[in-house]
Amino acid sequence: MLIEKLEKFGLSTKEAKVYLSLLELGTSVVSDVSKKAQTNRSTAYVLLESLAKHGLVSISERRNVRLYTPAPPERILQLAEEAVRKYTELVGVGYSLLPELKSIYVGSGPKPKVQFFEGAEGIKTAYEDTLTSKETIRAYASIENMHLALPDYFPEYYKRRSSKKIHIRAIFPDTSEARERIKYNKDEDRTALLVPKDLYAFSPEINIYDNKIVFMSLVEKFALVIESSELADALKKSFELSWEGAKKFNQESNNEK
Amino acid sequence: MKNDLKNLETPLLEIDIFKDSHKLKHTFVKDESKNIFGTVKDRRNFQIVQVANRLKVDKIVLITSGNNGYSLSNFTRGTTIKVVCVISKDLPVKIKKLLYDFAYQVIELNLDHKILRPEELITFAREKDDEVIWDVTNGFEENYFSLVDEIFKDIKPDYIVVPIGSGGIFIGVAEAIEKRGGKTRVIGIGVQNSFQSFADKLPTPWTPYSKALLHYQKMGHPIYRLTEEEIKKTYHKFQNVVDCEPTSAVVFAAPEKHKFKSDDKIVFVNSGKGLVS
Repeated sequence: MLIEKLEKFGLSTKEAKVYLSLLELGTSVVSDVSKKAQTNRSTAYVLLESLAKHGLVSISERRNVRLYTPAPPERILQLAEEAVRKYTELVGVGYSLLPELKSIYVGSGPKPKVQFFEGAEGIKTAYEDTLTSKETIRAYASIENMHLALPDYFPEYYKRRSSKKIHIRAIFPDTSEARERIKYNKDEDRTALLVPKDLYAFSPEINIYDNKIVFMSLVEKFALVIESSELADALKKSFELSWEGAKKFNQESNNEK
Repeated sequence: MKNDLKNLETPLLEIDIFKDSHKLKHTFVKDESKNIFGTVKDRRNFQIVQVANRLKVDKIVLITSGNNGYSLSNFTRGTTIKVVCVISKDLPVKIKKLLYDFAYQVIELNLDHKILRPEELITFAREKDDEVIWDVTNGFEENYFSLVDEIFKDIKPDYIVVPIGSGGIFIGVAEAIEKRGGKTRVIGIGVQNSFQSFADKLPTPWTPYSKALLHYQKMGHPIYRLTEEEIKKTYHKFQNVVDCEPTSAVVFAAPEKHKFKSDDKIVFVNSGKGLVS
């Protein structure tokens, strides 16, 4: 029990055993300590030297014989106080480091930001954000699911987007609704490619613009907006790859710009 | 503790000094000279002493041009914390005398062209091996959030103009604004000289905030640096608007540097009144 408690002060099990033995023995030679602590003589020697470094043992010599004397038990309290001082000083070092560390953290640029929106209103909030885009929106979209999820929102949204001169490049599963919509590509400032629905049908919409990626689950009714230049850049490149692939289906809208 | 931060709310005063000259209709001064020890630094110093006292720190060391060391020394009265002020040997005699009166120790050095790191300051201040010593020259800038909160209680400003030395106040205010969201911008007004200036608390050969300052500039919070001539001209023109010193008066140069709109709400932070007039 005592050994476990002494370990909390940074002593090993063996060091604690040797210290307790020496406390009982008083000033002793290494052979007596090793016998009492039930450890071999060379190990006891190393442990006593280590305890001396902690200030728990003092060493003297008499007639060429090395003698070990235990420090009074109060030394344990001093050890704890020294640790407190050391860690309090470390708190100070932390405070003085903080400006530089924070500066590096802040200076490394904006951190990814994730926003979650629920329900039809939440999805509308996400669509409204697309109208802040400063570049062409890249989109994977399912026209019928969009119109089903927000029946009164489209095509008014398309008009507002085109009035802001925000172009969109979209990949749609080839459905009758999509074919109907792309007739308005010019008016709605859109370039679209159709992909076979039997191979590539999907229900959510994914929009990529500026430093943002917007995932809209039109069936489960939620939207996720991720702000991250790194992720947006990767997704834009991935979109370009899809776009090249979609072209091969030769179902490109005649209205592509 | 004797010195209570509750007394530290400072007034926001409407001023009309730019109405005719720059057609600015809504200008205000957040008067930090009205803090207990006359400086915006009181906000951080109170907190530093609270934390250091709780953790039984023996000594606090800092590089100071006067106000900060004076403020910190006063906040430690009634505690066992000792304040060591590292100052430039060129500091005016009156300020030195005040620091010698209030601080535990004053160390005069030739600070020109020197960058002292925390560990060096701690070594200067150490008298005993077992002393716990903190360097508080920088940091604790989150304690300036209260300054922004107080301003927003009264108005929603378009701009908050602060003097910029190492950048602690600028960063603290920018962080507070970022947390709030919205369109408010911080403007930092500093000096061109890195070592000596008429605005004596602003030259900084090194700052731990350099990367953060660049970041906030990119985010639309501008920093302008004045020539010595501009600093003197600004001080002489505006020194009577509020109780300020050359270092704090630099904020009034903002309308000369930044293109404000006539309807913008602009808050100039008077960072303090200086120890001697």
